[in-house]
Amino acid sequence: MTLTGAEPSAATVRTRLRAIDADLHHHVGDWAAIGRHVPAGLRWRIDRPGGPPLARHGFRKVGATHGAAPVPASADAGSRPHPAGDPAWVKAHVLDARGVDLAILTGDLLSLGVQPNPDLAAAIAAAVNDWTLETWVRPFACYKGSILVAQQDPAQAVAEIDRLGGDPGMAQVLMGSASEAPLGRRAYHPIYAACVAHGLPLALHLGGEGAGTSPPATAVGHPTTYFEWYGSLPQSYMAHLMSMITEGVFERFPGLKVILYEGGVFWLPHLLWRFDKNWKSQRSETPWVKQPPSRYILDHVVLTTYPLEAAPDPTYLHQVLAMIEAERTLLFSSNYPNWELGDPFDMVRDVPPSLRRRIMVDNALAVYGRRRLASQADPPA
Amino acid sequence: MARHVVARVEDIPPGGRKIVRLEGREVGIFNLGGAFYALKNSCPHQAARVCLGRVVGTALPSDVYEFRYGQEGRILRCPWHAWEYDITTGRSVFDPNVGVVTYPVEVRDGEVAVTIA
Repeated sequence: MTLTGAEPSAATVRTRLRAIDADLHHHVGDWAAIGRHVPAGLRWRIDRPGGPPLARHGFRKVGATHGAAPVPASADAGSRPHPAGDPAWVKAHVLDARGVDLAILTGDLLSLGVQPNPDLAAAIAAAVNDWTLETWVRPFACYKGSILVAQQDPAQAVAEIDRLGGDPGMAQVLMGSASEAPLGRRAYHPIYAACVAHGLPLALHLGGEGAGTSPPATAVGHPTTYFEWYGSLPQSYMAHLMSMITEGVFERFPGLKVILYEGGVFWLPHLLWRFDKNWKSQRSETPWVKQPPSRYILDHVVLTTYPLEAAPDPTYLHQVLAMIEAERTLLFSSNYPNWELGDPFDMVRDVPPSLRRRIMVDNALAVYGRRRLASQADPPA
Repeated sequence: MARHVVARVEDIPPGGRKIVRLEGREVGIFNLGGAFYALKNSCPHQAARVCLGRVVGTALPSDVYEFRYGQEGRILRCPWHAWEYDITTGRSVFDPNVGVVTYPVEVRDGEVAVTIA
């Protein structure tokens, strides 16, 4: 880790960081340890060996779950340690090995917002947040956490953001894009107010679509296979973005930044220009939408690189990166350990050199804020 | 540059309009409560005959979830794609840099005259 001290100068940060990973999925699986952070009333639902009851969709990856991601050696023939289960091992074999100085932890609980029981979901979120701080963030300066919230009860989500929003170990608020309703709805606005109050970006991560109280994962009904399900997920972001713009979220919260994880980027130009064109004819229905929708999107929304679409010609990628103003809207993400679609560094191989530094470091500093990314603790000796 | 008498005042009552042809282009003359305005009958979007559109009001820019309808009788809505223009300025309601071409109008001795530059 290259950062030390509470307030390194901006110039120091710029020159020393090599790469920031916006999306490292540390494994949330030690439910006995997590359960210790849950009040007794609900602890017994959570600290069981198999973890809490979680409504899931039926889709599972086929083939190699983690692709060619580095995996810890088994201690014995029967055990299969999780590749993102040990923060020291991940630091050494992923971050240090790949030249990444800082990783934002996103966990692997991406369907809390569509769990039927809002109180259980909120308790799990809070406990996971405490556990992440204790086991990953506090001992290792190379990790920053995400304040995981469950949006089906916005009041409890706001309380969690207020509880941890001032913690220097937390870099963002995280909720699943799987949601009972489009995220522009006014019931969710208090969550956005809390994000802005604490200067935290809002990360949306797909993955729970179709589980629990979620609508079907596609607009035309339930997919049949994982292949179909995973490929369809960007439509979740498209619907949420249209909802947030038309319901005036960025007018009401001009400081809000939204990060859309793991949805690719090639779909965005379509949305920008379809939406702008329609707005000229249809704006009177939502007169608070005062700017062309593309301006709200490009000024407030950020995307991540994994899994960048595999365009058959690199010039196609260059064109799309120009269309989405990637010099300020794209963050490098490893998605570790889920490398079944390829190596995240290979995925950004065709990014033009002029954008590389922005995508690997500068954009993350701008979105998260330099102060947030400054380490709050030195790594253990 | 020429000045064209296009109507007598009583030919275009308040709320009314008249389309005329001047120097090769159509021009719409609108009477808004006694004040006259002239717009080129061509929408900057796709050249629709915009002056044939409905004269309406519009939803004014507002706070989120606030509805303020106003400018009744002052907004011209293009019949093709509903782009809306302020008749008094020609400017679209969504972008001040987008607008219908306007011409100066003068009323003298009961006659309405449009000047084409």
